[in-house]
Amino acid sequence: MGLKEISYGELIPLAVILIAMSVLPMLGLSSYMLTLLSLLLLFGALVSIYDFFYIRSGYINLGYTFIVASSAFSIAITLERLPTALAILAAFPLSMLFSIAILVPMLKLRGPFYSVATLLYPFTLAPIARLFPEVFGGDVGIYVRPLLSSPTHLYYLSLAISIGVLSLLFILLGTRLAIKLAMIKDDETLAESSGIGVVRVKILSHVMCTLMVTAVMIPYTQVSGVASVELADPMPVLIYALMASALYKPGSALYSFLGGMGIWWLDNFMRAAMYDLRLVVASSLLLTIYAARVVLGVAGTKIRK
Amino acid sequence: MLEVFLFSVIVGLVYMLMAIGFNLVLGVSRIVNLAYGAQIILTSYIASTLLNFIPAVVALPISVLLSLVIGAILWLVLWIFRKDLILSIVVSIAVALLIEGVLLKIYGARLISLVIAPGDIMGISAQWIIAAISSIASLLAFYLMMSRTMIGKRMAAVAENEDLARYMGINVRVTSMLSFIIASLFASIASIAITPLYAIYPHVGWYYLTIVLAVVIVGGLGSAMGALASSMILSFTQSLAAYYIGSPAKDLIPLTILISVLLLRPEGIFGRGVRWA
Amino acid sequence: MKALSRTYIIIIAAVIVIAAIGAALVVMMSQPQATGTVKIGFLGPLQTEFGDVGLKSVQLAVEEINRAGGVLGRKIEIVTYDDGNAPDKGVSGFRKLVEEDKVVAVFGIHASPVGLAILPLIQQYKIPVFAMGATSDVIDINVSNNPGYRYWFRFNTNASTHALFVYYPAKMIAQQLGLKKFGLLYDNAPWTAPVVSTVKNAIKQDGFELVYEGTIDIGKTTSFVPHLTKARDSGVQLLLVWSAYGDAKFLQRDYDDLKPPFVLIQFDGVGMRPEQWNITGGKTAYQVFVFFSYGRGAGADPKLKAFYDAFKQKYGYDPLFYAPYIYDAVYAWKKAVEATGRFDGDAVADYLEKNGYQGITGRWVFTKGHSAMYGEDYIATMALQWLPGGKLAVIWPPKYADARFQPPPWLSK
Repeated sequence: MGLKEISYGELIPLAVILIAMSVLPMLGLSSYMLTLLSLLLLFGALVSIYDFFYIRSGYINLGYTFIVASSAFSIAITLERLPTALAILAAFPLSMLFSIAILVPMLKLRGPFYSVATLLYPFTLAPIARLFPEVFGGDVGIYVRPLLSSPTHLYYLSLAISIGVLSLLFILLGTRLAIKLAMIKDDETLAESSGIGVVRVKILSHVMCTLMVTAVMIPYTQVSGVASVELADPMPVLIYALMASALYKPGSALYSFLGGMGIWWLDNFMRAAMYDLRLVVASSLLLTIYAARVVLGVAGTKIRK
Repeated sequence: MLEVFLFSVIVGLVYMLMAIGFNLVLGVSRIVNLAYGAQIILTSYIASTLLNFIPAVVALPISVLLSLVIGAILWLVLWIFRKDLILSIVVSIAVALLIEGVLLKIYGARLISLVIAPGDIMGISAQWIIAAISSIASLLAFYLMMSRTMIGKRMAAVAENEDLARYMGINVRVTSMLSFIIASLFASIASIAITPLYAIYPHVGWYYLTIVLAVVIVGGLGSAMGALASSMILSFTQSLAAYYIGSPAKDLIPLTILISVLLLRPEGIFGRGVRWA
Repeated sequence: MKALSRTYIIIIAAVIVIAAIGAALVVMMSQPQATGTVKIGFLGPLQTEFGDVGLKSVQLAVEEINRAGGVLGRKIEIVTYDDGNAPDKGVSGFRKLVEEDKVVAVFGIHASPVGLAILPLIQQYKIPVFAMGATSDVIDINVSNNPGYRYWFRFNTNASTHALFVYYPAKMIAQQLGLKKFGLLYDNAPWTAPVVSTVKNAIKQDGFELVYEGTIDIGKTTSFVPHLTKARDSGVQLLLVWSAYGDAKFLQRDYDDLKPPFVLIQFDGVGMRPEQWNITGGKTAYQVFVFFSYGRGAGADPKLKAFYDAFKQKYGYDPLFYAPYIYDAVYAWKKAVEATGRFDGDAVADYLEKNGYQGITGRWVFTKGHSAMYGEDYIATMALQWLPGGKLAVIWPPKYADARFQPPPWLSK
């Protein structure tokens, strides 16, 4: 992977897709379709964020759904107690507070041990929710106060936030942060000795990641209607995020976004049409793609020797 | 009170038996094998099917053997992807999902029963005793292997510094494969000794994996003593809290231990304090 | 050159994605609505045992109804969606079932978060929904406070009623043996909070004594020796248990190993099944289990027994959990539709609110929050005792009982 990542060749097709998606509702789509497409967009954005901050830095955070779910809870909790504008503002620091817990191992651990440690985080959410039911609603979760009633408006909000997230990521790709993250992945010790404040970079990227996830979860929780601990379940979100970002050229916001949307679509299709083969199909697909990548040596695969 | 103590020791041993293979592979090959829980559950399903047709004396060794073969294949897959951490983790998850999906397709989501040792000895169920004995035997075998045999020393060398080990003429690939097959052996022993004590359904592999991860995180990486100690710590705190503290707050204790270890000493209580690159 | 080929790939990928979405839209919009059939939806965690058994029960009911000529002369078709117990999937699935598949009713729904998430959609679409689980009292409060949610019917009782499932048989046993000292052991989860306060009141009212209270650390308690030892040391004579997540399997095993001198009466959501004897390796002797229903034994209702036989014949094992409840729900919907001649939510809701339904599990009458009324005149659970050798005997309620409770031999120690 080169260090200069901005490619206008990527921006143009992305713009085409997003423009196409912005006229879709005019075709008279059903509210189901709009809801599904909203989730598709938001999931694509979640995958791009994951891809940028974790795949790029080589810190494979398997506790990503902890951030996703705690952001959802932050929004639900603040909306329950505060007027809308204030609630949305307050949700960001609140979700930062939650996700500090997952920042600490990032500062101290590396490689596989970091991944293993973070994998446990999503599992801590359910016991915590059960212990403080008046805050988290226990096993049931809590209602998210509706802000937009029309699925079309919700769709446009989702689209806007996805575009916002993607633009931000594209801007970040051109900054030194992206380069620093890639250097940390390549050799952290070397990065540190060549004057990169590794700890500062990590904290900064963690903060940005959490804020962006929280922004995405605002429309997401509007669609789901309820924030519950199920959102922390690694099975769909984390696995599909890893799948999507690794499909082709890890570290590219565009492919992750497209991959995320495609996998969510496939998941929805299988839930309706072939639920008993969902796991087999998803996992075989993943293994086939990886095997093909290794055999064909497609770009982005870092298999040495 | 004696019962509480005794059972805490047994449960601790069981936790250790579950974690030991995962720890070995992580330490030697630096492969995060998240399919480990699925491997455990797979042996149970193979054994439960074989037991319908052939007696246990034949069925159990065959299912262990089959699991070792599957383990070797799994190693091959993970080895190919190992240089890229992302890929190896995702692939191990994909394998775990594939195993779960196939089991779901064949057996359905229903709980199945696997009874290997019915009855009890002096008021303790035979399955517990088998679990405890296999744990102790595995721990001993593990210790002897690591300290007395050439293979063990090679593994330790590879775990310590892979490149150095390679310069010294150790075949890293073979050593890694051996560590993986031995881990699969531990997984299948755990499967036969422990899964009858727990529930058996396709999704339960993830539950085993969380126990394994908790033990590894609290104890520290690659250290057998750490695994033993952390298994005992987790088991004893659970039991003593359940006996002495009736209130719901007791359930926070294992979680608190886990989180405080993660926050204060993320390399684990017995970890070597080495940050991994 | 590399950049060019990359752009090329992206454009192809983009075209494929857009084409796929477009094609799917066209296919979905042009799906012909077969005349003479009517579609119902099943929304549930299909890859779990709960969802699986629920779907099988609905399928059984639908096959029977179709053989008998369908509903209002139309054959029923089932469309499924796997919600994985997650609210976001539940919302997508519910919308898909209603908008794309044009179902006229939705069955299933096991998880409370899914139930809560789809309530606003139920109001929007005015589709009758028959939940088999989602037992949280929070849903009842929402339904009773919002008239727009009246199309929701829970064919099950709510969480706080679970107190009585266990307490009634325990009270009978206490009176039979002259015991007074109760102990409670329950999931450390919000669902048990109303259960515990209900039970404590009942214990006080009936003049019993509460000497032990312990909680189950869900998914992490692998040995119950400390709990059982503490209960024994506290002088417990009857231990009442509420466990919904499968932990009680370890309790059953440890109780059998320790043989403490008290009676064990338990609601074990996962363990209420005829195979529990085999699953625990025969370690449930003399223990009392609450079952939602049981179609075997001398006192079984013939219609319930017929359902059990049909289920076993079709699927090879006895139904478990709330299988007969959701089976009843399908027939209740059929009855409401045929009585009113209409499929719409208001007709079905009006009918069920007014008339309830007499099913194979009892009489379904709904509370203001549209949860089933509980008791011998309505839907009653059963208490069953495992006897040595793996035989199950119904001991409560009296009208279905085929045996008297047998105290475990170690009780007199």
